[in-house]
Amino acid sequence: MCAKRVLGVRARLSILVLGCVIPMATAAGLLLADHYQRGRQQLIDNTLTRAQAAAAALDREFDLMIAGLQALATSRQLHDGELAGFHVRATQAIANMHADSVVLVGLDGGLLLSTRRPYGTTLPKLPRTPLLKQILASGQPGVSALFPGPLAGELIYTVGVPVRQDGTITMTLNATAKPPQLDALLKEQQLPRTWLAGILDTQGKIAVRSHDSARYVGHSATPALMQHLAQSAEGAFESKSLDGIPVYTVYSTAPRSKWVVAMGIPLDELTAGLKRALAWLVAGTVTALVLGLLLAWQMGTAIAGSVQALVAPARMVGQGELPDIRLQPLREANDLRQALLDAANQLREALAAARENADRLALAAEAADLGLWVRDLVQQQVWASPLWRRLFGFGPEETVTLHAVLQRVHPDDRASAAAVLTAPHQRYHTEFRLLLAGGTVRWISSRGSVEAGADGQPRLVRGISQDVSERKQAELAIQQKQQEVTRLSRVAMLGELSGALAHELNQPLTAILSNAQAAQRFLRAPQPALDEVTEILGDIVAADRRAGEIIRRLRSLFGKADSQQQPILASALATEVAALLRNELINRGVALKLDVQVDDAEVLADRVQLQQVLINLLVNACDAMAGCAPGTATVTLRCTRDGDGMLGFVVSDCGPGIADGQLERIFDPFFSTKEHGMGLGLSICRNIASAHGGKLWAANLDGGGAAFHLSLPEAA
Amino acid sequence: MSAAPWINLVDDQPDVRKALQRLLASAGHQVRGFGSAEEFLAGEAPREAGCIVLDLSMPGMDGLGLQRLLAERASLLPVIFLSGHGDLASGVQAMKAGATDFLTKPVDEEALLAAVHCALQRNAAARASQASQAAVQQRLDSLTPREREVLPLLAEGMLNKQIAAALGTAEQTIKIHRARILQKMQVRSVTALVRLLEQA
Repeated sequence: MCAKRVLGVRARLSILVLGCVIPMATAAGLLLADHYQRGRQQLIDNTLTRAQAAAAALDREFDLMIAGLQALATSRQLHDGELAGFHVRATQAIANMHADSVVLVGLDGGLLLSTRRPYGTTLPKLPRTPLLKQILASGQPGVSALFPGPLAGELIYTVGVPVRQDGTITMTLNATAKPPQLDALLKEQQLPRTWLAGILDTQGKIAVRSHDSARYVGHSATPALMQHLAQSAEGAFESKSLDGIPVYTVYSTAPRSKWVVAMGIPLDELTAGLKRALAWLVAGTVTALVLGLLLAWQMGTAIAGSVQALVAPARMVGQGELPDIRLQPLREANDLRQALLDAANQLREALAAARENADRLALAAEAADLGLWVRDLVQQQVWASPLWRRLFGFGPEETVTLHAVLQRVHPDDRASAAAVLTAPHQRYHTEFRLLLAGGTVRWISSRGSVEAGADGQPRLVRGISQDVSERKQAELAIQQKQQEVTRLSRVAMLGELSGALAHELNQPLTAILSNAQAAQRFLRAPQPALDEVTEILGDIVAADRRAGEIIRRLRSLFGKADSQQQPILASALATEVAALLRNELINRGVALKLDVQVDDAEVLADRVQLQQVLINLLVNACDAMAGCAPGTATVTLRCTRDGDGMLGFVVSDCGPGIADGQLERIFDPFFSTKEHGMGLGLSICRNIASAHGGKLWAANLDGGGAAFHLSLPEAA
Repeated sequence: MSAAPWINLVDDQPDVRKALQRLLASAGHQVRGFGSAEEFLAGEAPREAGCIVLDLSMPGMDGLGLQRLLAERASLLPVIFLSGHGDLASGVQAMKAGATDFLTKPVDEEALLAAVHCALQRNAAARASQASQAAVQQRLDSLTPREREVLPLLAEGMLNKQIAAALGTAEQTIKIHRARILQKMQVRSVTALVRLLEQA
């Protein structure tokens, strides 16, 4: 069997579950990611808007201070140089301006007045005056960066407006505030608690921070933010906060003050939704997989169990048993179970019928004395029925092999039996003798037929063997009788020819006697001619030999020897027959024409029997021409090759031919057209022809007369 | 007599022919062999002295056929038959047709030589008889028609007067005819004339 691994139903169902769940989970994951991207972008966009709003609010905060300062700057007291009154007024105005103090700064940077100090107090000069320079340069109000306050030393920021007298800037009026002033601004944004938010001054220093504001105030923003600030007024990027928290930073620069509002969304928070959704997705997927696989496994187990539960019963059905099969949990399996049970019943019936048939066959074979056998050509094993074993002399347990069978075959028949049995044909029939222990000879008729396997090669041979000894003995007896009849018919025929044969023998005897007497006369002469006598003696010897030859032929024709087949030259046969009949033909006034067209052709035949056939045919021809005018009777013995490996002897006469309707009847036993005929000659001739594997038939010739055709297989 | 007689041996068997030829020759005969009747007829010399030793059964024309043919041709050659078997019917037929002898093979030399001797004698007599007949005929041929009319009457022993009455002529005329007939037939008396005619 092919060793290819086949997946079980459980594995297949598992694959089905995986195949369903994983694409769904993947699609959900992709949707989730897309959704997350959109949500995130929207959050960022919203946050940026918030930052912009916060930046605008920051500007408004500063504008509020600027407006307050500009109102103060127009006060008469300032113009009139009544700084004490201005101090009072300014102090009153502080609260409206969301400022801590109001400071008047001279063009040289010296503090002219501060609401923190009572009027008249000597005030220090500012170490650095960037805002002053900005205002002087632009003539417009400005907002400073954070710087340490000259009086309290705390970090503060200043909003300043120019004070003009007669169109010239004479000083600047500034409002200072501490960064916590801006806390409210951040709170207004109502950002989630975990979010970071901060306001940076123009230098990027932290003014206010949503968390740990006190700790980080005055610190520079993160380098990443500083870098982004240098490049654009607003933007968003991912980095870490100063506290080391991973955040997504969104910032916006206020248009007028150039202060910056930055908001940090903790990445945790930003991705929390995604993570949650992913967690759900993973949990859902895993749950679906686990549930699916569990179900698949359970279902697979049920199916596999049902199928496997039917395997053993199916095997039992195959062995012809009727198994007890449990009801199965699957309807289809139950159908199969029912089918198996039905099949088991049918098989049992069929087996019972087959056994019945086998029994009947065995009984019939036994009754008919038929030995049955089967030979496996591949395994070279032989099964044989008990009767066959008895026939061939094998014990019940003895192993039967072809070799052992052939050993029992009679040595004379062994070669031919081996040829047939070793490489059997499609269907064959052969007969041979067995020589069993104790010298018993048994004739066996063996028939077999070859069965081919799927590849067309012979696979096994089935056959029957039968003891045909009785029939064979009867056949042999018939054959012997036939031979005896043939011989007697020959003797009778020779009796008819005896006169001619005696005459034939007389010829050499005459020559011998006359020669001998001539020699005597020569010897009586006074001076005998011994040369002549020597020659005469030679002729006597030759004539004697001729006489011996004639006698030998006669003896063989009269002889009782068994049929002996040997190769015979067709031409020699024709010549011999012509010699035997020479005198008979002369006596009957018939001329014999020998027409032998084959010099080298041989037939495997019994010489005497073939001579008998040809003599019979020639004498018949002479009889047929008895009424012919003297000198016209001619019989022709022709010998030719007929094709298909057959040799033909044709005896044709010029008599009246054979009457219509008798061309076949003349070969019937006891049918004769002659007055004194027995009607056996042609019948026996035909038997002889058949025994030689040939044929004998008669035909009328066109020009009158009859022709008898003897056709025999030419010897290879 | 003239030349020595020939023995014509007709037999289709060469060895038999050769042996018989040899035997006859050893007995002092002149022998010629022929393989068949046809061969013999082709070389036939019927007026020769001799005889035929003939095989009864041969291919083609057989012995009896040849015998018949020779009789038709008024052959003087006597026929001795040789037969392979004592076929009585053939023997009777052959003897009736004038065969000198009918011998069966194998033939003993005594019988054969005796038969040959007998046949040759017979042939010699026949030949002699034929020769004298021819002489008488020659004399008869020299008679005139009137003399031939007279001759039978004369041989019957009638007198001149009786003959003259029978023929209606004068006795004297008959007397002259008688003298001329006796002269032409070279006899001296009517008795001698009658003996001569009987011989012929």
